[in-house]
Order: sequence, then structure tokens, then C-alpha cells
Amino acid sequence: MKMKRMEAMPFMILGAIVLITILAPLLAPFDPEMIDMQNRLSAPTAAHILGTDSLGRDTFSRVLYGGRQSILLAFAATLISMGIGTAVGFVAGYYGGKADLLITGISNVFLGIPGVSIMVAFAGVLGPGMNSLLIAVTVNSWVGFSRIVRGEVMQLKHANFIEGMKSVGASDGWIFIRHVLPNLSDSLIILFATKVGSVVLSVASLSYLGLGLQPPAPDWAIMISDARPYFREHPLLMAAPGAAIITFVWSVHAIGDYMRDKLDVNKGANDAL
Amino acid sequence: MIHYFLKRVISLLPVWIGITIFAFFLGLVSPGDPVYLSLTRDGITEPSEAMVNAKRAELGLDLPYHIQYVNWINRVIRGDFGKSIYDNEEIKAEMLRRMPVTLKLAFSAFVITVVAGLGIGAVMAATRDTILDRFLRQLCTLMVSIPGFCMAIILIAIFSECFHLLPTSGMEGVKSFIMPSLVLSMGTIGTSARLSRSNFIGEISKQYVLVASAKGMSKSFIGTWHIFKNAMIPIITFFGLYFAGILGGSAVIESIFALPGMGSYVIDAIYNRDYFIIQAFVLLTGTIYVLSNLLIDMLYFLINPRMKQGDSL
Repeated sequence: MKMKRMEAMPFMILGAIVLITILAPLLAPFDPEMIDMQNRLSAPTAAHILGTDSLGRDTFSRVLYGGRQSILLAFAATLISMGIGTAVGFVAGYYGGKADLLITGISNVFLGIPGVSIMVAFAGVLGPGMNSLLIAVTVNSWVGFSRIVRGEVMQLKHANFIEGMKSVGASDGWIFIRHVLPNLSDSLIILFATKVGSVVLSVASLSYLGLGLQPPAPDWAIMISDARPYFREHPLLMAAPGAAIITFVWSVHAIGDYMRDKLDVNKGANDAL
Repeated sequence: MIHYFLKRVISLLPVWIGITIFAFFLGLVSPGDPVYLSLTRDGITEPSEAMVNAKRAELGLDLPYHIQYVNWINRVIRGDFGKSIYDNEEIKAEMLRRMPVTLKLAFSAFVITVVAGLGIGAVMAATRDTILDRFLRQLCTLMVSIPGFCMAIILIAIFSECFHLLPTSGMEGVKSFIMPSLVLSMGTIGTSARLSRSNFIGEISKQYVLVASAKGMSKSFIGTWHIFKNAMIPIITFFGLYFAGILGGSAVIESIFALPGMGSYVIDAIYNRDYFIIQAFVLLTGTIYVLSNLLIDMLYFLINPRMKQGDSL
């Protein structure tokens, strides 16, 4: 599929952000955590092109570093959720019966608790930080994947080619890896993009409230939270990380939308997620 | 109707029990000993072994887990969530004071989501593939991509600090709910508008619309009545799912706007490691969500004539 220039934009933007984030140590002119009280709240200068914050840390360097933890966290947590969700959804959809009943029951419980409540609960019980965020996001997201996979596997398992594979003696594992997984990839990619975007957003909300990633880590949400008292006099302190996070999440969502339109799988079902 | 209602209640009961187990489990895995924490609350007392054991027995925390669970459920059903470890206040009283605020916020955000989501979705479907449709679709993606706290700060800057129209925080009547509910509904408006659009478009392309227009019915009549009514059937169930997002998201928004709801209570509780409040919050939001799902199921039953004839869908 050949892309138009407009359609390629989110891919290029996301690529650029991920690249900049990975290369931040090479690109940043200053150490993002270096405090310089002589130069606090400085306006943009040649050295500090976006100025400095209330502790004299370079805003530009902090923006470059600012996505590292949350993007990594979002990708890792969503990948783990996808793995668990796919395996569980396959078992439920393929074997049916009691396994399906049990899994659907458990899924309904997790669907019945608002996602942010789960995240808040884990942040509260395990203490704020990377690990509790990872667990909270995974506990929260696997259900979305398992539901989609279960539904599709239930349709797939009666397809002729699967019945055929079974009749020539292929094992269930082989059928799953070689024949079911490739058929699921479109739905999984779309859901993955949607989830990564929303995970970055919910992690940011928690970090903003002091329940997620912890200062002095250079993180976009923490920067916005730190900049709140200086918003009127130094709007750049908030605008720079704000623009970064919005651009990142927008590009991920735009890619999700693009894939959905192009691949056109289960339109209604995926729109809801 | 009653038969269907009972059927739904029976199917939602295990979900609710699961939620209670999850909430109970949270209390078990929480690090730190609640007994020790509550005894050292004043920061001076260094409790003796005997004091800790006595308190533990008093709270029933020395019993096996399944008995603790049954005891806990018995208390919880009567609304007794215990006392805050931090300030020794009854959690029930505090939650009762705060629940109306959260419900008001979540409900107004939900109404905004439904009205704006359906409205924007209908406009997009009617102007399908024009510039307006494309613009609104981009806008929807953008709305889903802005963190709530960013939007809150932008709105506060405009309406409170610039024009002095709305309060930045606290409770000053209806005015205090305008910005929080707008921020809370923003993300779900984006997704629900997209969903409504695709449902409306799916409905427009069905044959009965062609028949109706061939019979000479005006386009606007078909649009407002037949299509709307039929497209609503799948849409209602999805709005039910969004209510969970809104209810959970209210915790963050309440904190930002300093609204005294259940959400800001639980977030303060997290800073203090006040586990009983966290437990109560998970259980209450889960219960509200299960009940609202029941309500939506009933609405679905009323709006969808096929259900009444006993067709399985």
C-alpha cells in the first residue's frame, strides 16, 4: 500500500520522536538533572534555547529526555498485556467450555472495575514508581486483547483451513503460531496503537499527581506539574513538554486510525476500544 | 421485562463478587502492617508486641484469609469500610459526603459525552468525506490525545485567570462543575463521535433507508428518526463502557480541580498509604459501574424491539 504524503506524517513524526528520545544522551546540550540556581527561570538564551526551570535545569534537554521512561513503559506494558491477552484469549476461544467460562468470568471482573481505579489502587498499594505502573497497566490492559482474540479465534476455529490442519494432525501450538496468529495480526496492531496512546496518557496523569514516575526524573508530565506555579510568567516551561506529549500521543493515535481505515477489520468492534 | 432484569442481575452478580475479591486482595498485598501503622499514627508511640497483637485481634487480622474475607464482606455490605488508618475517621461517613460530588461530576461528563459524541458523529456521517468530516475526524483524534491535566490547565488559564468567569477549584455550586466535566468528557467525546459516525454510516447504507427515500419521505425525517433509532442500538452498549472510563478518570480530575469527591479522597489516601480507603474506592466505583451497566442493559431492552419478542441477539 502506497501512502500519500499526509498519511505518512504521523509515522514520520512518531519515528522522529522515538529516535530523539533514544538519542537524547547524544543530543541534549545539558545534563537534564543538573541544578544551576544561578540561572533559574531564565528566558531562552543561546545556551538554553528553551530557557531553564525553577531549579535552573535546561528545559530543552529535559524535553529530549522526557519521553524515555513513559514511552518505554507504555511499549513494554502493552507488549506484555498483548502477550498475556493473546494467550488467554486463544485458550478461551479455541478450547471453549469450562476454560472459556472461567476466563470470560475473570475478564468481566476486570472490565467491571474502571481502569483508572485499578491503576490508582496499584500505585497506592505498591507505592508509586515504574514497577507498580508496569503491573497496574498490564493488569488493566490484557482484557482488551483477550476479548478481541477470543472473538476472532472463535470465528476462525471453524474455518476450513484450520479444520484441515487439525485433520492432518497439526498440534494446537503449531496451529496457533502458524495459522491463527497471522490472522489476528491486523486487529492486534490496531489495538496495540490505541493502547500505547492511552497508556502514555494515563501514566502521565498519575505522574502529574505524583503517583506515577517520580521526580527528579525528566518526564514530560512531571515537568508540566513542576511548571504549574510559574505558568503565567514562564509559559514555555509548560508548553514545551505539553507539546511533546500531545504530539507523541497524537501520532500514535493517528497511526492507529490509519491502520483501522486501511485494514478495515471489524470496524465497529475496534472503534470502541 | 422482570425476567430479563433478573437474568441480568444473576449474570452481574459473579462480576460483583469478583470485584469484592479484588478489593479484598488489595488489602492483603499492601506492604506495611496496617496494625502497626494505626498504632504509630501519632509518631510518638512505639507499640509493644502485646499492643500489636491485641490490636490485630481487635481488627480480626489474625484469622485465616477466607474468614477475614467473609467478615469483611459482612461489614462492607452494611457500608462499614472501617476507619481511616490516618485520621481514624469513619470511611463510610466521608464516602457518603463525597459520593454525590463524584456522581454529579461523572453524570454531567457522561451527558456531555453522549450529546456531543452523538452530535459530532451525526454531523460527520451526514457530511461524509467532505472537508468538514475530515476536519472533525482530526479534531476527534486530537481530543483523545490531549492529557486531561493539560486541558485543565489551558481551561483554567482562559476562563479563570483571564476572564475570571469560573472558579479554579473548590465547590461554588454549578459553576465549579463546568470545567471539570468538560475536561473529563473530552477524551470520550473523541472516541464516541468516531464510533457514532461509523454506526450512522453503516445504518445509512442499509436498504430500508433507500426504500424510505424511494417512498418519498424527506431526507431529514429519515435521518432524524429511522437511522437514529436503529444506530442507537449498538451505540448504547458502547456508551456503557465509556462510563467506566469517566468514573475512573474523575479521580484525576477531582484532584486537579480540588473537588471534594471520592477520587480526590482516594488520591490523598494514597499519599498516606491509607489502604482501607483505597479498598473502599475500588469496591464503590466497581459497584457503581456494575449498577450503571444494569441500567444500560435495561435501556437497551426498552429501545430494542427485537429483545421484547424474545429473539436472541
